[in-house]
Amino acid sequence: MRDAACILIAAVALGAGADHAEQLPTFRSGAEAVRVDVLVIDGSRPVAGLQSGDFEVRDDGIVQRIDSVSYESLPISLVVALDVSASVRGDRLASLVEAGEGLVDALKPVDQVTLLAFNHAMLRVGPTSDAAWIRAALRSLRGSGATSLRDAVHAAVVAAESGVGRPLVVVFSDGEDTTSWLDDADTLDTIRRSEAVVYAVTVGAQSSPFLKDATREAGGSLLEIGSHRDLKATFVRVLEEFKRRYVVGFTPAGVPGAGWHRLDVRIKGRRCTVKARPGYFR
Amino acid sequence: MVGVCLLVLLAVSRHESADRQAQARPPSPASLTPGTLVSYLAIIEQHRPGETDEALAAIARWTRSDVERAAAGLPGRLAALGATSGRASVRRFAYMAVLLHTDAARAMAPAGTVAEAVAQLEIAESRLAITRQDPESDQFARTWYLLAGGFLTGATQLGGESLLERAVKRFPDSADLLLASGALQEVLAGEEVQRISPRSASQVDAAPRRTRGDRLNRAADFFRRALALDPTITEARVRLGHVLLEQGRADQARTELERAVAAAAGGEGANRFECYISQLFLGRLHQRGRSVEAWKCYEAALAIEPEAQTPRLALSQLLHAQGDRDGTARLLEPVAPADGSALEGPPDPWIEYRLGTGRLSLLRQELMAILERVEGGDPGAGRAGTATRR
Repeated sequence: MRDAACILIAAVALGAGADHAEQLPTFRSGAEAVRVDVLVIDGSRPVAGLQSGDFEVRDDGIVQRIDSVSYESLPISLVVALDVSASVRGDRLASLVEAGEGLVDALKPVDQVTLLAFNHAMLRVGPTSDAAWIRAALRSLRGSGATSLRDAVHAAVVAAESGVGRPLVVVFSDGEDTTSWLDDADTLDTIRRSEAVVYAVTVGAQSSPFLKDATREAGGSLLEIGSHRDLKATFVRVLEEFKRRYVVGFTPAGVPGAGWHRLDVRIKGRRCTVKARPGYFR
Repeated sequence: MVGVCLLVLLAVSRHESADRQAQARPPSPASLTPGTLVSYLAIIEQHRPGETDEALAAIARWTRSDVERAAAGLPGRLAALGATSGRASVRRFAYMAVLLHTDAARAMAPAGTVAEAVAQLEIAESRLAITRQDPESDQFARTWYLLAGGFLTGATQLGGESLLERAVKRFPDSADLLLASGALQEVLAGEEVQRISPRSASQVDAAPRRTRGDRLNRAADFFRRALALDPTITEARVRLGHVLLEQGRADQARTELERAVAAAAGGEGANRFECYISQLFLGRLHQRGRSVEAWKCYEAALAIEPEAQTPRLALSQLLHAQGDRDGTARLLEPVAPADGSALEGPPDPWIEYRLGTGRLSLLRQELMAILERVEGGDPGAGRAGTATRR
């Protein structure tokens, strides 16, 4: 606790302290109310029409009373994090740009999108609802440099949770992380402390243990596809799946206050696959 | 100089009837017949070192056996042309061939053809062998080994071990090569690299698969040997500190890293680069459980390089763990401003530490300087350059 206080003092000295005049939206871990983004699948199809009485949420094993369930009604705060390192050139880059445009086209006007292109550095455009701005930025991308995947995922999660809406991060990478400062543990810690759902798409690369862990901890999925030509369809499928997720809210009761809370979400009386983050920090 | 090379071309072409048409004017690299010396010489002559040009595309189409067939019997076939070329031309041919194949490796690596890039470096290395081992050639070879080893360490990560082993065997007293060898082991010990499957790695690296622990031990040994030869190589001390940190020897790591920081303050040859990297590693050392100390170290790194992204990422991660979302976002704002227009972050020595691109540029310049001295007939061509210490 003393550590935390000192850090906050130092942060203020750096100009990074909280501006209390500016209120963040309620999508954040650590608040009293907890919101869990939940995907319910029956076979391969998302299940629609569920009500709060259909869900059972356990916090550290204790059944919780559900305050709210929403479906398809909340705006999205999307961050598209694209690896444009040296290996992403020519047709690969063209497919990636097309996929990014497809993702932007599938958003509603109330949604916001941030483009975070990265190699060993980062370029951010947004958050914005101006699709034309994002399209222009996508078309200006050129592949170069090395890959700082973990650093970019950290920045993408921070950007997503700073937006107004349900935070979603879609990460594309086709290679190994060569230049990140943050390690797996650092970045997974950021993810566990965030409500952002993270999906990752890789093409032809060796399976990324980091992205596998990151997407699992964020309640998303790692999609490994064989060809860049499938990128657009995959990106759009990710967004469509995200739109069919439920946001389940509850106020923790009967559980310890601080630290990691293990979450278990089930559907009563149905054999469904439920995908949600495995826990949260309070 | 172009005239000398055209004379070489003309002379060689008398022995290579397949390339008679090349005598009239400089041929297009793409039109040359693979596997003949005259074509090889034409490509070498037309390549502009450091650039990605038609000559690189042409040599990339040659198989390794094409190159070996063209270069078979060298330097005898060139020496036979003594009246027009002589020793200086043999040396020049070798240096330019080395630069051609090194550039070819550089051009191939980003496309993912790592095995081909390594093969190009091996061809480049074989060209070194046709010059006599004298101070000038030694200087060129030592500098090239640093360039090639650094390139493999930074860009492709695998494939450099056997090359640097040969380099250290040839130059056992080079602290720079020991440092480069240790840096390669340090990279190969990385968790990300260790995850690459043996099957995948075998496609790009004939070196044995070693465990992370073995790699770290080897790295520490190289750095200690470098420091024994020259205690003022602070970068070796920084990297030794990092390796000790990775080995879980926190106290020893802290000692080495703090010595590196002190060396900077004491004017013992360290500079901002070493001081910055040391502060980052000290931050990491403290990060688990001593957040305030970690914060101070990352702040110190940020004070050294206010534009760099790495200290901001480290600080933002600490702040995020404390639940300060606003502060986290503000810390990252300069890293990726909301209206970014180009994917070029400000210089960050951490990236240089990992990739060594700035150093590679200096090494390339040093090779070019040696080549220019050969072309100018400068007897001092073998004197020490700027990018290597010894």
